[in-house]
Amino acid sequence: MLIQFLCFILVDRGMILKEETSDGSTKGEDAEDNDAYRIFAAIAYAVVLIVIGLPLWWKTTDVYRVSLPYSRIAALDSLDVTLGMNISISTIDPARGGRLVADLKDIFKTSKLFQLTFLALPLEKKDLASVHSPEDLENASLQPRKPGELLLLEVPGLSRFTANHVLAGLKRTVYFSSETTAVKLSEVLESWLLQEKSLRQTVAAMTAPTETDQDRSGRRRMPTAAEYDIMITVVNPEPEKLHLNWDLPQAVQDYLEPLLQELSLLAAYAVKSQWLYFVTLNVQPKLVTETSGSGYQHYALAEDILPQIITPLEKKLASHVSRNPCLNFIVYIPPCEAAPLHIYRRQGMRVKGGVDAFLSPRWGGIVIHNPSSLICHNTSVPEPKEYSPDTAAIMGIFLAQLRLLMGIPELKEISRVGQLPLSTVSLRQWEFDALLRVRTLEQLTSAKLTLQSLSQLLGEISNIVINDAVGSSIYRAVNCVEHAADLLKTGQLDQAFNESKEAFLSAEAAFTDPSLLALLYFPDDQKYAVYIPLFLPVMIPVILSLKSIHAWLFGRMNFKTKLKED
Amino acid sequence: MMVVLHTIFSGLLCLQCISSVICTPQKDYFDEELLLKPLPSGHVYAYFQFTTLWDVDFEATSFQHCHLFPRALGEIVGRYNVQELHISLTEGLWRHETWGYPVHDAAPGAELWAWFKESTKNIDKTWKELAGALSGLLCVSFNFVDASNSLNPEFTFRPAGIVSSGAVNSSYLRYSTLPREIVCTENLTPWKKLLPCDAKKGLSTLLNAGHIHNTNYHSLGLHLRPVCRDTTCSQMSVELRQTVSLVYDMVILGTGNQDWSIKKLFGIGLSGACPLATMSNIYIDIALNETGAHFQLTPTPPAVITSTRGGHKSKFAVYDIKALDIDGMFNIAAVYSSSRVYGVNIPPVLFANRYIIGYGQERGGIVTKLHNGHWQALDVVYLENIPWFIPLYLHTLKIVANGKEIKPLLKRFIPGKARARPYYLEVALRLPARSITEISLEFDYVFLKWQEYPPDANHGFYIGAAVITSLLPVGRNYTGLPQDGSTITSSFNASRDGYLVQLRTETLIITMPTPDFSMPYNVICLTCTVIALAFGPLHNITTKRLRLKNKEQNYVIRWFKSKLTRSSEMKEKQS
Repeated sequence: MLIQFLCFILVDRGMILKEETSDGSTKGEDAEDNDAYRIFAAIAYAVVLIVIGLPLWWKTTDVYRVSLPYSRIAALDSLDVTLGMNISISTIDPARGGRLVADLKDIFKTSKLFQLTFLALPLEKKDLASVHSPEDLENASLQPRKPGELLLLEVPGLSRFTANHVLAGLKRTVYFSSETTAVKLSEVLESWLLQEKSLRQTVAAMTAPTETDQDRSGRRRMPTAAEYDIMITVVNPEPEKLHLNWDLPQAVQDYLEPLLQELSLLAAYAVKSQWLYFVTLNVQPKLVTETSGSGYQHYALAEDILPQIITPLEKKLASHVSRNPCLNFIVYIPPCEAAPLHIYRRQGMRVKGGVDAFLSPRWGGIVIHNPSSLICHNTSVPEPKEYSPDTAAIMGIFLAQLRLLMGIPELKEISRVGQLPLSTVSLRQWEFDALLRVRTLEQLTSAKLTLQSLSQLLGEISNIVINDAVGSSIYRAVNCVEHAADLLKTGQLDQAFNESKEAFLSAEAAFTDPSLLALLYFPDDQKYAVYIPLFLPVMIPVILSLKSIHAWLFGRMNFKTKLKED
Repeated sequence: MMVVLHTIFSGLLCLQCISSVICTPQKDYFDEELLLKPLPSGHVYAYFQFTTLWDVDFEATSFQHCHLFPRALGEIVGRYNVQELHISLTEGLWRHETWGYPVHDAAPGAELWAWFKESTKNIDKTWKELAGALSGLLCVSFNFVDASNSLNPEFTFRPAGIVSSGAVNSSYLRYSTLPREIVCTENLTPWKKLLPCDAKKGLSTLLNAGHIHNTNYHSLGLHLRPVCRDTTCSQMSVELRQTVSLVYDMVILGTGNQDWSIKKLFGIGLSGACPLATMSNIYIDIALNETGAHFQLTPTPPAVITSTRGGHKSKFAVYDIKALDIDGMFNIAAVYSSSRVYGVNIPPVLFANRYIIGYGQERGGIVTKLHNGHWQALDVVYLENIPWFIPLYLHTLKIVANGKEIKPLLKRFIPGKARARPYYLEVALRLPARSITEISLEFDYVFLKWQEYPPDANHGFYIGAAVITSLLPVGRNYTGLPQDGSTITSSFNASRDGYLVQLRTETLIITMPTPDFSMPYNVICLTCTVIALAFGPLHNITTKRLRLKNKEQNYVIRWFKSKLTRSSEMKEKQS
């Protein structure tokens, strides 16, 4: 049956074919015309699908992306970041001043990061006539006011005040005695005031983290942010035995606020505090009895188990609101039975200076504050025993830790070089300038790296959307980086810092904008599952017909030329 | 009796005086209380309340330095300008008819309502952020709370604490429920972390997940409000109440009798009070001891308080944990004289239930029945909270009391808007004396966009509980705290003009028409196939032409043809 049906079809076709051939032979001209129509139809298909359809499809399914300054971002690689700086040298003897300027210029000629301009400033004897103490020097009118500048001031008879030859002031001035050489001054400048090595290492560690490591202060310093949270936690593991009398908000107000006020140019700070009860250290301190006669008993906490203390505390320290990096400061007050508790080094020695505190880089610090033995051993006092912690001692340690965490480095000791002790202020102005320099470089480098990785990422992943807001913050970041570099060169440190901060924040905002991910997870396989069944069967005949269009067009041209030749 | 009470109160006051001397810098107090109430139905109701009172101005800056108050919560409250905050996380339904009124009524699932300060700029945005932060704090899906499922009811919710101005502007209020939320250990653990003693000491050690989640009903609560510091009310304090309500079914606990004890209920005895607590008390309602099944408490209670409230007398055994000299584990046991005798259930004055009516996949209705058992008419406010995907028709609102239609005193209706706003209906009613009032409304079942269906769409969609608010004239079955009180103690002998009750009805579940979710892909595939199949011949017909080739036919076709002709010849021969 089936075979018969097939037969019928074949015969039928054959008949039609026969008919056409008879038509074709009689109406040759008609066939030519028909051919042209068919070719036009094929051209129409090709035009609609390829010329109109493809661009339309491309346009409608394209990922929205603002045009970005890729070339400028690439050019940031070779951005020249040098720090311009004016250093004035005041000496009573102009000739000595000139010599010092020439010598220092020579020494700092090779500096890759700094572009130092040394100026000799004449000094009148009467300027120093009324100076009777280093504090008087501080109040003298010749202090430079502009951030980033420095004054090296010769003070004849500095030995009246100090045994040192060089004395770094609280403002932007370094005092030196008449016998100080240019080499000594350059050493002070290099390792205290400018810290070029540390700056260069910071930048190098950021650009190539696998090759260079941050230096000690760089590892400790908190990452840059627009705002920091500072949380002070008092841990009292057994409140039924020891009751603490401590006005923490007042202590914060008295001790931390002044420093934070001085640091407020860098970032904003939010100070919080909390009390935790029944939180234990989760480590078992060892009981130590001193052999040297006194029989003094105390508990020892080995230095290498200190990191284990932080983990159980962590779950009570998180914030559900704030996105700022948080510096944690913890006071642990051991109960009387476990007191006094001291931190021991691995060699079986107590830590330097007997301060039972430690710092966890980029995290915060912990202070172990032992209740006084007078209260602990007094059996006549009923439990809970009242105890008022020593605010100054605890806050002093916190301040020192805060300085380190914020990036004010510890200074290497240089023989016969000293600095004025901090009194009314908690931050020296030149220290702050050095901090500004580190932060500016850090922010610039970070913004640069962020922009570059973003541009690289956009090149690699085509599904990332860049909307207008993100685009504008990328532009802003690029502008700010370039502007900040210019400002640094001319020595306008504070403005450069602000620009670099803006660049850093804009770059971070652009990189972490959630809109970037809008289409990131649109799976490619789904796209092809839809496109292939539709486009493949449609496009194959159209593309194949291009061949016959091509043949026809050329055939016509050949025909025409033949006609002409004829 | 009054003497006993007086001494307890004076003792309390004294304690507070002492502690206020001790904690000079941070003036804050922490109280922990547990109320155990055997219910006539044989269930045992356990209500924990942890109250933190903090003498500080209710300002954002105050919350930066916290002592007993949980810092994690304080940060959220300070940041989002919250004036008052109420959270409840509940599993199970409180059966008002048999259990009476709980101290805090809570809707099944998660419920959140907050008042914002008048200085708040963009309330909808702040509300969403607040809900997000709380979802992180308590591991609840509050991150799904936004303007599309939040209301600001005008009458039902009033500020529970003190307010600066007399006029209440409900635009600063947001209320939302997540009826589908399942409450579990993951919520209890962060909730316990907010307590000053954590779960290390005191009554909170009794809260063990295994013995909480096997109850008929459990509800975690967190209520924050500003209160008066003293009677003159010239200064503000912050009050945080953390509550746990549990209803144990002694049959489920499987002991074969009605006896219960702290150890049996919570799986552990009490080792002592929280050292930070000013007050640490256990109250046992022994009123049922006289009217219903008789039980004996061991150890014998050190004090018994008789409380008369709204004409209703009740008796409480009081155990002051701080005063007890606890060595080892402390346990309170109730031993019944007979194994199973249940008290006569006298239902409370006002209770409600609710159900779905209608059939098919097109039209449905919600009916709420309000039972007024009082001899007088009762004024109630009825709040309906219907999600936007259930279009509700106000003209179908019918209120029938004892077969007669009644007119509502007040009506507020804001129709919902798809994906933007839920349906809000608030009705003030006067329920006739001894009546059953039916409030019915009709709605349509609609299709949603295919991405709006939850992962398990055939499970159904939840409609949040309706809230019924009333001021009861009698205190029977009433356990709630007076508005001016903070602790359970304050509810003893606290006769007032009225007793505010807020009942939450059942949540409802409806089955919405659910599409076949593979449909879009099927449609795409089918359309593509049809287009591809149609395009090929169309293209061929319009661009190609059949033409006979003069050359010899293809070898294959020739072979085929010859075969065919031969076979047909053979057939002919055969025939």
